[in-house]
Amino acid sequence: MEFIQDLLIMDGQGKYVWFVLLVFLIVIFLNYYLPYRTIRKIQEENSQSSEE
Amino acid sequence: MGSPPFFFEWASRLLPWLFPISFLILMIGLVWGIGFAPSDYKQGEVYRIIFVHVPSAILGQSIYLMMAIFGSICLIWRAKLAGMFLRSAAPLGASFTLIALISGAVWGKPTWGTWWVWDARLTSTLILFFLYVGIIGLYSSIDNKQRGDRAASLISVVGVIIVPIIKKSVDWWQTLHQPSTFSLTSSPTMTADMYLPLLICVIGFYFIFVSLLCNSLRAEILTRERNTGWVRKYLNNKVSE
Repeated sequence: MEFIQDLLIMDGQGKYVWFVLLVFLIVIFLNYYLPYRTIRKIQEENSQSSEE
Repeated sequence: MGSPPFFFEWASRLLPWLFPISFLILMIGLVWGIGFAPSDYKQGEVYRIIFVHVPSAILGQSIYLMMAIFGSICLIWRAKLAGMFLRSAAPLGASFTLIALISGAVWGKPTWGTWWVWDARLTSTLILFFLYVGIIGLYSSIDNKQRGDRAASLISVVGVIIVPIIKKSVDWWQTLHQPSTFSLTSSPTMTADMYLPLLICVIGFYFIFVSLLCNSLRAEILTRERNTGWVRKYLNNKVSE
């Protein structure tokens, strides 16, 4: 428990480290999700047109 | 390999393996670096930003270098896949450069006492970010994909001069930024228990870049080639699945 608390607080500098990690994770997620959404959109459009 | 259908097929098979491997390497590096590496005697705990900042900065420059090579291929041989590479790699390069800039600013506040200085390394990295944004903007503003590819290739090739400037900026000018962390000619200045997780993070970042690039290139290939026979066949197979 103490280890996790130390890890989160990091002598008062944890906010800087965790913020950077959060930014990194958000950017990576967006770079994964946006092309994935494009592929899904093309597949959906194709399935709609083939149903018609 | 240079043909879009072949690359699409190859990337589709590789991605289910590549993403988990990338995340595993990245997790090992980040957990080791942020959770278990020793504190820095001068900077304390905030130095742990290095495990995100340095790999992002290295990738930001490497991606531009790759874009210059693919830009040359696109200009000389008019290879379709090279243009698609530029279109897919530019947002990734911009993202990693942005992470490097943000993490650098967040690191600068507790260590330098300021978020930003117009220092040679910081300013040249900001120019690199603007080059990426310029390439993305070009693609958005030019409807004809081939013309967009050629314009982006030209900017990639001409703008590559920024990469050695960034690399050498800490040697050529008096800067607040510390010297390069990685060097091919000298031994590391940090201990192994800091250097090894950093090295693993760099490798993990390269893996995640390749994974994201393959994913992005698949989307770009499908978008550009959606009216071709092989894409129609692929999409129809997906519907029947």
